[in-house]
Amino acid sequence: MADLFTSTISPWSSGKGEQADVVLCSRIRLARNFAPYPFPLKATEESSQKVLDIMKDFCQKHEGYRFLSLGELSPLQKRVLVEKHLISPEHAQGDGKYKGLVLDDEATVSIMVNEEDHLRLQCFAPGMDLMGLWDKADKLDDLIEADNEYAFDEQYGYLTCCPTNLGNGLRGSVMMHLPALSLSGQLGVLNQLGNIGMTVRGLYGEGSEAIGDLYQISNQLTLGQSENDILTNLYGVNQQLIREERNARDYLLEHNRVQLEDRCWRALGTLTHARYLSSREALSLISLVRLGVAVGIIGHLTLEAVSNLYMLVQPGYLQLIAKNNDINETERDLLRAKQVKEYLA
Amino acid sequence: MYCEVCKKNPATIHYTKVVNGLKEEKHLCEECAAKLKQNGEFADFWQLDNKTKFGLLPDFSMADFIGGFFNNIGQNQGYVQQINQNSACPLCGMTLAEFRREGRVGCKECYRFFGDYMPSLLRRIHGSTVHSGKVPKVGHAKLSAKRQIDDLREKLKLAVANEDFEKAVELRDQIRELEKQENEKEA
Repeated sequence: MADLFTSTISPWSSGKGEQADVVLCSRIRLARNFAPYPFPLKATEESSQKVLDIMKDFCQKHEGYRFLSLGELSPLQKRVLVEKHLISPEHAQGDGKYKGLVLDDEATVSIMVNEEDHLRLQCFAPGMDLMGLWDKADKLDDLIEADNEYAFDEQYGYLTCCPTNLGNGLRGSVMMHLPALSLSGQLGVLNQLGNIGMTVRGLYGEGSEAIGDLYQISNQLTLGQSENDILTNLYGVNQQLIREERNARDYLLEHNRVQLEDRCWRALGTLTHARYLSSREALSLISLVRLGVAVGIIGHLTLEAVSNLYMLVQPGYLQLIAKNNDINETERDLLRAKQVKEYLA
Repeated sequence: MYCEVCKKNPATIHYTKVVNGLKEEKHLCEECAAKLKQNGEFADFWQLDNKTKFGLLPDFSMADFIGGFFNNIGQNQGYVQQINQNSACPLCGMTLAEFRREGRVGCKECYRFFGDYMPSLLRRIHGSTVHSGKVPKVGHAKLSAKRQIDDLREKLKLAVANEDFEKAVELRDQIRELEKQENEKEA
């Protein structure tokens, strides 16, 4: 349990998996509600408790899953769960009395209980693995459905609180690292993705900005298309982006090699020698170092080693390991620089 | 609103920073902003300078977006005005006014209760009004089986296109078996 909060290991920042030079991680999310109860927006204390109880029972019945009551976690612990992408920022808000979380042993499955919908099933995998994840999410969904009736309509599909999730309730996301497209000013292509039913977001989902050249590409529509079609499209779009990013990297290496080397090595120099690091600066530097490693400029580090830095520099995580709730921003920047320096030494 | 530093001049520069869902705001007058920038304070904010040059964008949520749809729906199709703004969903008590404000519904019954609104709303959001995809096995066995067969047929097409005939034979047998089961159930 302690490990869950203090370890820097997280599927989105392990640096492993298929096409890891560009893709950090893939995620599948399913929105589901139980038929007998109102959605969390209109829930009563009693109905919320019933939903929590269903998932507690589920964890007892099925080995390998554990239930966490968000009411029993500190705000800082919840923040670390957000940084690990195991819960949404919205789920971390409030006293968490009727909110729950189901995790599997490796924290590659996370089910948010009583978020916007009764259940938000999420499966994560490092690198590009949408189809593998769908298989896993589908089976987990069957397992829950075996003992419970979902809110489902033969015309509208799975009924969700927000009509934008109606239908299959599926959101596939791929977290991409696109530093070369960014350096060469070609990110305009991302603005076009809306036209083909895709959404682009920053590191922390809805409303968040793209920091460290990290972009989450997801499907927008959930009604009228099968899961397979949606994920095949998403996969196709991402393959195209991966090709573009790799081309941009090749182009930079061929035409601006020394400048690129300079930027990557400078970034590593700053990370290893700075005394203060803000999280924004750290994420931009990590981005350049990750690029340097991916294209072979920085040979003594691996993608796994660099990707581990992503968790290490998160504000909540630093505060948690500092064991001091009152640590201020400057102290945190100091601690961040120290942690990074020690890690890279 | 006055500048939060000098508290004298009106605040004309607004910065909003959202990190991990935590919002931090600064409201400054130009004079104080320039001073702070020179002193190297709030470095995080200045890095955003280029992106937020045009000031703070108003918060725009999905709920506003969906709420906005309603404004047009009524005008084009008179028949959807049947529900009174204050009549409430029998299961969860959500009213039409609330639905318009929230952009979200309160329970599964709402989809029936606000049923007149749903098709045009869904067409605008998704371009479709009919689910195509997974179906729960419990309680929807027939539809579930049909979807399963459709899915296998798609795979069969793909296998044939890829000239993977071994796989195609396997899939064909699976389809036949499922169809046989369904026919027996109906008979």
